[in-house]
Amino acid sequence: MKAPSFFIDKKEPIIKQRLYNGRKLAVWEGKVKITAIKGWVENPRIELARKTLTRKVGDRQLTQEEIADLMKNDPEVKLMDLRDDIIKNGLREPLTMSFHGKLLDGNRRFFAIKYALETMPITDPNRQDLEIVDAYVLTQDATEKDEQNVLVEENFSASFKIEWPDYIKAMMVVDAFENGLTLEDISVKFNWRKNKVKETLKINEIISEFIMYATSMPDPNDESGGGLGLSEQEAENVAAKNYQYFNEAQKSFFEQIKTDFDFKIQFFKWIYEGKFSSFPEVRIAYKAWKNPEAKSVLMQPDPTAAKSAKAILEYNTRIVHSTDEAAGRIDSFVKFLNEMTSAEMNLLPNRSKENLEMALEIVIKMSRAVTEKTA
Amino acid sequence: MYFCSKQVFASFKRLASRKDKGKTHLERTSCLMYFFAFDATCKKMNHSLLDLNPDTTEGKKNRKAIELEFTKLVLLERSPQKIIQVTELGKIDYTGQAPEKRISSNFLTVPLKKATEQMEPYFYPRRPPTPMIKLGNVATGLKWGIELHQDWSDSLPKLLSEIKDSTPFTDLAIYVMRDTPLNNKAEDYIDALSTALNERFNPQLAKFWIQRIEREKVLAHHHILSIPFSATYQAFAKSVSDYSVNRFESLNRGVLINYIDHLESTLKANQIKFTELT
Repeated sequence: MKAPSFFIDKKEPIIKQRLYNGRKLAVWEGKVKITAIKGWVENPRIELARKTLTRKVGDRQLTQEEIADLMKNDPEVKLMDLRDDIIKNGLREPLTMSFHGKLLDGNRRFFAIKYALETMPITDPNRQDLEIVDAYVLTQDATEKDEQNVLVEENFSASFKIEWPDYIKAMMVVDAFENGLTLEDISVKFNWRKNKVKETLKINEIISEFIMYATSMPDPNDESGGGLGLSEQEAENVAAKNYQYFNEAQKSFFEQIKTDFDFKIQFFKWIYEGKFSSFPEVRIAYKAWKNPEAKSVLMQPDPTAAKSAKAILEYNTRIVHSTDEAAGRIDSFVKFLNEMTSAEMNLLPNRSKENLEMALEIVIKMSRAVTEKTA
Repeated sequence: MYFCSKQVFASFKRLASRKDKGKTHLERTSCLMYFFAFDATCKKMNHSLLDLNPDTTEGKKNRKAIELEFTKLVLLERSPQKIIQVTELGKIDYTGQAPEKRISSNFLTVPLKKATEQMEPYFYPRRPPTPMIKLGNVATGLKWGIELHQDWSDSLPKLLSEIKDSTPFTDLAIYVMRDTPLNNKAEDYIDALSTALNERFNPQLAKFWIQRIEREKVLAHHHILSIPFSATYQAFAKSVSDYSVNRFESLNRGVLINYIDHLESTLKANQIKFTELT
């Protein structure tokens, strides 16, 4: 079988089997010069940052250097941490590439190595450990599906690696759905439960509406004040940042978002304003919207408004509970009194009987006063 | 003027369900269409309560009127060979029975007849519990009576909640008014829809619907074409079989691209898989 051309000659590459997403694939294992590898420019991990840069520089293919800069500057990529780890410990896990040199797994590691080489003095003897790295390369007959399995295993499965951001994974699932794949197909393709795929599509439904709203221009003649006037990219960045809050909305009040238009728009405004600082605060958003007291608090610009609204709802729930509890105690006490025989009554100490009489008189008076006031 | 076929089709396909399986959307579409047909009939007859007694002249006349309104809502094209209609919003049906038959053998037979025998108020639909109309003697005072349910405005958005669309009231109104001549002096789509809805439906439904359309305006500008109207009527679901290949030879590139867009939209609306031309 023919080995890929970019392996270095010093060590003969060998072929072995590896497991990716439940599928055994034949791969070449060998050493590759880092200069022979091209980073994955289209890597979905940096999709949003790439779009932002493309808007600035125009619609052209970004260079390797531009992508490296994007990754260095994206705090979620944590490239500097990985670079420092690689300088200290070397490359712990080989890169994985397609037969034609496309980097399928290890894009972060690849750019971290390049970053390390940039910062290491040319005389540093450790440079050579990073200039030639271990790599797995899929065989020539690997299919597109095999490549997909590598991507899924390395980026959709929970592991010690930094997975792609939720929003990016969701967009890939949505893309697959819009390209006509069934829920079953998508479930297999990304190794996600069908329910998770369904939920992702519902989250996307809310996010799409958010982006539509956010990119609409403000309109003082509109009852809702119109949109937020953001660019498509700005709106998408807000959506990505708040992806898990949209997920919470999907779980807690999807039906209400779809049927109560005013609430939907208000929820979008809250998301944009950064009203929520935790999932439980998002969870109570619709209940707060329906509760005048909690709603008026939530509408305040105070940064702790959502926390206060949540506290109000919880307090109200407790009051209802304790009212129920008081009624329950009274009922059981009345039952106890009704079941008392005159002989048992006679055995009670006078002090107890007087206390009971006094308590009943007070309760009767208070109850009458409240009833009259209400009437 | 009319809504142009491209706008109607885009609105229509947005009304599809987010679910690709099950009959819920089909059932909800039927409920909505019965409800709109009933309201339009009331408006036409100037009544708020209709007697649909199959044995009286009045009842027969009302039945015919509601069947006609229902047909106007769902029928897209009819010829001796075929009926093209909507049984589920977002999808075109080329196979079903005639709309008049559909309403008479379903709604006017099953729930209406059942309501005549009930000892308790009978509301429709019962599943999901989103009452839109009251039926029968106990609920309306007439054995074959049909009347608006007081909670219809709460129920209507719930019946639309399975639709993926972000502007369902706007798109539904455009679909419903697809064949309606619009006010030539209308300033925009909201103005045109307001007039059309007021002419076709009772004031309370028209008012509610227009309010919803106005609220959806903030999202709808993403959906509404810059010129959503056409001076002449365009049937949006013309059967593909009506076109011969020769017909295309004389058409220019722009028209052909539009036609391909239209055909692709039809395939998508009916969830038929295909490879898009690039």
